[in-house]
Amino acid sequence: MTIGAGITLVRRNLTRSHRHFLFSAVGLVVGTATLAFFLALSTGIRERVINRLYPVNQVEFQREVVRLFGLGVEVPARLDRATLDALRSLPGVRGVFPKQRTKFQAKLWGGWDVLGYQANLEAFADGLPPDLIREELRAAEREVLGPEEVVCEGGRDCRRTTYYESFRDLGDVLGCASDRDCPAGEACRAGTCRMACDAEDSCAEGLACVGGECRARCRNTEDCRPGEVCEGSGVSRACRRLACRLRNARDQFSEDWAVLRGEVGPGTPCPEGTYCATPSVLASEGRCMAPIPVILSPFLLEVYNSVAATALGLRRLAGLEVMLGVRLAMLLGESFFVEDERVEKRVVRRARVVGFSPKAMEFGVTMPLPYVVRANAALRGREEAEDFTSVVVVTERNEDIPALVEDARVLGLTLSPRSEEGRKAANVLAILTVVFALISLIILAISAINITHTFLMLVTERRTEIAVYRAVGATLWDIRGLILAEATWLGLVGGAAGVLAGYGVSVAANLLAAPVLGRIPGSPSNLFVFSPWVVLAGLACAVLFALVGAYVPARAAARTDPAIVLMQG
Amino acid sequence: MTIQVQDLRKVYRGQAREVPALEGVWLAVRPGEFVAVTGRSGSGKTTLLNILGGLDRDYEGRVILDGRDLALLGDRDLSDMRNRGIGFVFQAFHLLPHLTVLENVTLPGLFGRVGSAHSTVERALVALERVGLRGKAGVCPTRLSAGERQRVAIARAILNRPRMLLCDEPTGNLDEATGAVVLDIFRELNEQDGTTLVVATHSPQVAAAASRRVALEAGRVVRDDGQPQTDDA
Repeated sequence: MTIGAGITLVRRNLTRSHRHFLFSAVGLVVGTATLAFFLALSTGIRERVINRLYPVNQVEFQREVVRLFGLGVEVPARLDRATLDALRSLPGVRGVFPKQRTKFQAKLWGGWDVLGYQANLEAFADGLPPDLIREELRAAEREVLGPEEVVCEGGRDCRRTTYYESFRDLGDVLGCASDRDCPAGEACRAGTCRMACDAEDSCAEGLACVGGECRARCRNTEDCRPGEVCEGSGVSRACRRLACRLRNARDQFSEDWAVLRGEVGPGTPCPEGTYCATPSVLASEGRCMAPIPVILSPFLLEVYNSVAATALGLRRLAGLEVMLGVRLAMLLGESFFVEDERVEKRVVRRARVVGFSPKAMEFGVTMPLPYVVRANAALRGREEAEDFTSVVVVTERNEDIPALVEDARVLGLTLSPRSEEGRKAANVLAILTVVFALISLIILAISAINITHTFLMLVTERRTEIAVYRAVGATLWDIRGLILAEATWLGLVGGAAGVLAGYGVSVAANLLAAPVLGRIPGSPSNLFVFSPWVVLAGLACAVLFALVGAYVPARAAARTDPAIVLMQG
Repeated sequence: MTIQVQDLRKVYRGQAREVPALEGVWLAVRPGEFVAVTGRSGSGKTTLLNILGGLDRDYEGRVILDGRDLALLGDRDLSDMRNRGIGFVFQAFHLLPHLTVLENVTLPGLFGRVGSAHSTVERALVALERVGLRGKAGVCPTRLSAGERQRVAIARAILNRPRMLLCDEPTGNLDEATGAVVLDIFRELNEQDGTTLVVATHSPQVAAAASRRVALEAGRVVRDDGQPQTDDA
């Protein structure tokens, strides 16, 4: 039988017995809808929640804690640069990204614009490498602010204000008394930490040795960081941070940005977007600097909305985007809880919110790692600045992680609670997916039994027809193929209807969940991902179970004895 | 088509007992013969036709069509022989009621590889023309008279121009006049196309029209008025 002839016969038979087939398809639709719904939900939760909180191919380590006589005692091994180098050399490791928390007291205030009052908080901060989350910040920003390319007035193509690009080391100069107050690689010169050099080739690539200090090479001021100018001549052109002066040291606490910008010369303030940052609260002379770019955790806003705003009767934050660009102030070295640092060690710094990430500190702010390292060195000394809190390791493949965990244990490292949670969450999700997939498959199996009954009935009804087919030249395979082709078609139609039904239910579920999800900043607006593989899996299972159901009837049809049937008339 | 039947035996096995249907039938038919197989009901006529057509393979003895032993053919070859070499006409017509007359006639074309779909339809129309029903190609069989249905069944049987027609009581459900029309068609197919005809019948008219009469009784050939003098016989 040719394919065309087969299609003709299948089409005729389906049309003729459409009621039977519709009845059979109900089970397939329900089973496939259930399967597609749970697979899409599982995929959605994995991609939009778990992978966002605990990315694949990434794992975070911290120093192992040994319980000694019931007490938590940290193993003396340090998470220093040597440990990081050892991690980098392990097989399957693609990148090593150390994180560090601030190891000093600090206060934070600000937020008048969005909260309607000024918040005063104890400040906790950590630093992480900007490269680790640059793309994630970009994606999160696009989600709330839309594409970066927008059409401006007059139909011109232009870019909207972007924030994520600012999450990098924009430079900072903290005061120091000795080299011990500076990070590794920097030396204390004239009260500030600098990357000292004595010859041109002693600086890293892209840096020039100018006046005993390594500075970034430039062609013009646009090549430099905010608060710097490009100066010099020829190949020696390098960025220099502008020196500035406030009217007096107390101006550091002003909320007037015009006051904060001070003067770099008579009547000339620090460049737009920068302020005059001094080495201590006692100083009025400093350097023009951009605010420290910080990112917040969506959970912080969730806690604020659900706990603080409710308890204190404050304004709730509508969404994450309202915090973008908000300026904050930090006073390093002072605390609401513990004794303050020596006054000459206290420093005022401005910060600006440039993004959101679940990787940010839940109760604090997260800034590019160099800021934290510099501040820890300035306030706690170089040794503390060289000891990292944790390290994120990116692997080539997710399968590399189990071996990596074993290797890291030898280095005195263990999975961070967060990574451990991620593994547990992924396991729980996998188990739930399997359970719900099994339920769906049971429904499909029941529908297969239903299909068997229907097809057996149809085969009995069509005995004469099958016998006539045999008499006019149909082979056994033609007869089997005919029944199985009808089942395939039934599976495809039932599967497609099931996937559509599953999609419809997911839309309804999203609508029902929207009021709840809307109260959780950063939560996905759609919990379901109907990826091509979900659709294919739904269709394939429907077809497979239809074929399984039709297998016995197909054999029965092929076994029809044409001589007996035709003789009986 | 040459037919050689050698010591053909067939037993229907029921749960309680075995019923012999054919008990050592010997028969040789030359190409182009018109053989009427007569006998009382239960004498084995239909069983013989089913075996000759390859519909029933549960027998003992040998059945050789054009030199090919049916028992040695696989399902594909046997189906191909039924499709191209043999046409069936049944007493109950066995037309499919959900198909039109034309669709019924084109059925053998769906399972074979004799020409394109277009040529199948053309051949079906020619076959309908031969049985005088071209004008009813688009009608459902349920709206036809018994004689017309049998003519449609004949058109279906001759679609692929088979070398042999096996007809089981083709006029059994028809009145005398209609039966005569059908008989004329058979005669024409036999005389003009040289189609070998083996017709199981109770009808004296059909038997009289045949070139040879073979009588069966209790599964045995009791009379054959045209037994050819061959070495096998």
